Amino acid sequence: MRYSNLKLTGAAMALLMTTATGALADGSKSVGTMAGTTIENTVSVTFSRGSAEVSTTASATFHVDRKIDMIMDTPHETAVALDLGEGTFTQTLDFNFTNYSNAEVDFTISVDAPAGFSEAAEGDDTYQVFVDGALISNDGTITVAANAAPEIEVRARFAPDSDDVTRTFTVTAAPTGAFDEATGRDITLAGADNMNTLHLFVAADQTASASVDLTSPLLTASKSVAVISDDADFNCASGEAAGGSQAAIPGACIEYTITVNNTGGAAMRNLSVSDTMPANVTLVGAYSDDEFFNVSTNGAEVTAEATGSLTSNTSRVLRIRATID
Amino acid sequence: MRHESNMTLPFARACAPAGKRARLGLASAALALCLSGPALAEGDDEIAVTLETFKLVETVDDDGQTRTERVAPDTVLPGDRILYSIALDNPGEEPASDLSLDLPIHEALVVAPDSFTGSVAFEVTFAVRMAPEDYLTFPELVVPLDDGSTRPATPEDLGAVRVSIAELSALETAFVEYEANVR
Repeated sequence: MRYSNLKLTGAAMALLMTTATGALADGSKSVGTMAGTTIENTVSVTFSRGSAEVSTTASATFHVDRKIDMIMDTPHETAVALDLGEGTFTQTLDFNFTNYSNAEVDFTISVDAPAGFSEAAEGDDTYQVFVDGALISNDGTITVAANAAPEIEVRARFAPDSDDVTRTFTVTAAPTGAFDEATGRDITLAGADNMNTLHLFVAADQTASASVDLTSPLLTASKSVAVISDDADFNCASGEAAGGSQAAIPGACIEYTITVNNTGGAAMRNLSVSDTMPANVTLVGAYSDDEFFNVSTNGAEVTAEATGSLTSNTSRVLRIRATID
Repeated sequence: MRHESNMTLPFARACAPAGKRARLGLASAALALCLSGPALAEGDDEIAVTLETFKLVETVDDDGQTRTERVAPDTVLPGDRILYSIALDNPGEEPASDLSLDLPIHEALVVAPDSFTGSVAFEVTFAVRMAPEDYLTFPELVVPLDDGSTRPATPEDLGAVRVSIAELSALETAFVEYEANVR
């Protein structure tokens, strides 16, 4: 292969694997040569002059500087559903962080929590941050080796009576030290190690958000009463309602109708309804239309326990019959 | 094919022997990192060899044209393009012949085999890291595999470069340049 007076071209560099951002040809990132590496190039020249063979050398050296590059993302592509009706009020959100810098770098890990949340070990609407299982404080600093990928978790606790809303937590990793927030790029002379620091990240690469879709049951109840028969011979325990206008006279049969409605986004579990008959009324019995409730009575008290979950946006009816004293 | 050293050599001249700078012109590569080779002997038999390093930076001028500029390698990061410029200055009255320039390739560098340019006719051969003594042209170069077979070499396999120049005339200054990427 002979060359002569070729024009300098960068086309051949397309053959090379890496680009100026350290991305590989397949789009993935690489750490590249570690910061501080000294690259010395020496040319050894031999030649002939007459019958003598002589040689000489020359060298040139440069140092590889520190680039700071990282990616923060989350495996939660969509909001994580948390059904508070199941009695679980905590949710762990995972964040993937990789230090693509060519050196060990200190990063500040910051969490932007929803309004009303505080950083605490317990309590409603609180959260904590863990890195590789170890608790750190919000805005705490972690040291990450080149190409290392610590696991970042935000463990959030929600109030059991939270509304059906989406809560979003945003985690940001920022290298410690000053850099240009606007451009995400800066050069900081690092001093005696003969290295400069370049921040190559773009803002989107260092921040990720994950959300929790909260759903919870929400109970509404209503109660009404009607005289269903003023006939003294009416079977108040199981008779069909007489219909028409009935007088609320002593001995008349009355029916209380209690309707429970779940207007929340999550199923309601362990539903129990209790009622006590007022004075001048004697309890006869109670039942639910579809045997949704297991009903028991004790004197003037009625207790009805649901046999299953009251799903979202459904209602059930408990009927209690009594006679007027 | 022979080419005379009548090209503009702004960077190669920067590290030329002091006594020769007046003849070569002003040194313009003040940012260049270069070290001269040791003197071989007193007098005009000396061939001065300089090796300079530049970082290549793409810039866009006011007309929107992209240009490649040579800057000092003050800040070098993985992925950066590096230009090596070798200058050979023969101040003697006799030509030098059979010049062989051997350059080991640092493991942090990937040399672009098609990037070699020069002001004189030259031949460039390479050796892969796994067979550092076997110099061949890049298309001929193969990498031995464990099963006894071979595969074509890639730039990442290169471990050494050898540039051969048949002759450097008396009073001639020549240069050879090539590019590498920092892994």
